[in-house]
Amino acid sequence: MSSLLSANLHLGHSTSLWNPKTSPFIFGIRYGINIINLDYTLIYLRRACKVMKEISYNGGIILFINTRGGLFSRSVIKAAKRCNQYQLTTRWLPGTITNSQQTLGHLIPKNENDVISKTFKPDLLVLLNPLENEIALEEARYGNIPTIGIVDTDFDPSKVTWPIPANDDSVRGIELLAGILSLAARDGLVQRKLMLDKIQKERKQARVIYGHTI
Amino acid sequence: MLTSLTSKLQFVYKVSEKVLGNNLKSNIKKSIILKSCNRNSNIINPFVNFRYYTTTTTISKENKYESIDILSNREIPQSISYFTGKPTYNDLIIQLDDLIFKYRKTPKLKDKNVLPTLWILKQRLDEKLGLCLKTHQYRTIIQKLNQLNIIIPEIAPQLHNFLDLFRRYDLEKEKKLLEAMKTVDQFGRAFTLGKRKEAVAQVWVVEGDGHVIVNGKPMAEYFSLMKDRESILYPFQVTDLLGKYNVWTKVKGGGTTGQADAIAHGITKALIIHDSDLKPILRAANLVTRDTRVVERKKPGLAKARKRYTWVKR
Repeated sequence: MSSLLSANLHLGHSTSLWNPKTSPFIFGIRYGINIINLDYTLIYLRRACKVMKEISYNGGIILFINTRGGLFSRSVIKAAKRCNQYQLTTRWLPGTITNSQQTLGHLIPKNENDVISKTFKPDLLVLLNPLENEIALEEARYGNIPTIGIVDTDFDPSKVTWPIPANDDSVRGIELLAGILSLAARDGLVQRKLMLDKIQKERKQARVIYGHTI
Repeated sequence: MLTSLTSKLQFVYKVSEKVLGNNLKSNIKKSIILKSCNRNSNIINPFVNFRYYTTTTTISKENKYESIDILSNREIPQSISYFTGKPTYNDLIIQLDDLIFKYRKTPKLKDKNVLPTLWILKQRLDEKLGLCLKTHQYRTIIQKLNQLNIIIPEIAPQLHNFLDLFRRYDLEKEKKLLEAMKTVDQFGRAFTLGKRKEAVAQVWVVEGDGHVIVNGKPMAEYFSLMKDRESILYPFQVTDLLGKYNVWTKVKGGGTTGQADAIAHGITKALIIHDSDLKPILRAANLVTRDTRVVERKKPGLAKARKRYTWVKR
């Protein structure tokens, strides 16, 4: 597993414009670049996958974000489609969480009796380039929303609840990570479906046996 | 109320340590937690913020099913790009990109064979999608549609059916008009329009003896200047077809010379319909292009378009 992860462009990043908080993840320096220790990426990836799985199992809304555009957006959209979740490949609208009435309120029209229009908030943000999306991280903090982020050697990992130290510049690397996370989410979905089917069956049996109207 | 809440929290803390790990403790404190029933022992993830939760302190059998119904019937946004703020636009772009990727390896028409397609106008597209598109958004859509349009229609008929939704509604009419313009009708007439400097001439050219009738009168009567008559017959002279075609025209607008040149323009177009090999000959004689010279407007500070007022030293 680790051999697959490495080789493909998960190696280090950013010449010594580094953030010293990432020092535990760094393997060493070569060609003026800090090399990321891939053992740590594996560990943190596994953790992040577990979180994804649990959240999708409980029916949460997951947002995959990558604002770089181009080929990056393709991989993000693929990942989001795979697990029936949501994507954002254009600019993050400041206020989608803290000012959701104004930014997203117009999308679902109000009924007559409603005072507030219906808006949704994500239950998890998966940031594939957190360096350019600090606003999103701030909002997540205000809205009590956990975040998973691909943390590079020039980014502070404590800003993200579940960091994954890896290279955020390579398209292949991000495709791989987004794919892995989305597969974990899909697993959660599948298990959720099984769980719900099981409960429905139990209900039906209960009705048959006890004749209750539930 | 308070005591029961704290008791709930305590219960969940203990179980969560075993299942989820130590890092989550700080995050659990921030979020709202709903205690699940004993039997199922499904611990609801603390990160899922519930807006609706039961206010009863004891959990009975009824509540068990209520909480699970909340899980299963939770409302979620319909569009994958809900959080972009422009879901319909972004979904359309995703759809077009997917199609481009899908058909990236199918053979495409070369540039010469592709007719310039007329795509739906921005206003109409706005109405169709229910959006207010910006010009750059409209242009990206059209760019992608043009990329898809180049693909050979015989290979991908479904694709072109999809693209027909985006074509301008009167494309078919225009095509028919173009086709009608290009052929000789059942009586052997070619119908064209010729224009020059505010004069418009409707011209019918048939095989015949060489008569020319303008607004019901013979050419000699209508045009008194020799120059005008010569300019009308010039296309026939150039192509050596002087006594071979009859011309019947209706002219409107402009002055005498303008009308004469308009008729000449119409005649050249009609001759090209009759025989397309004549086109290079007529082009060499500068008859094919519509003469775009028009009266220049008057400018402020000048007496006429170019004439300046007399210069005064003081």
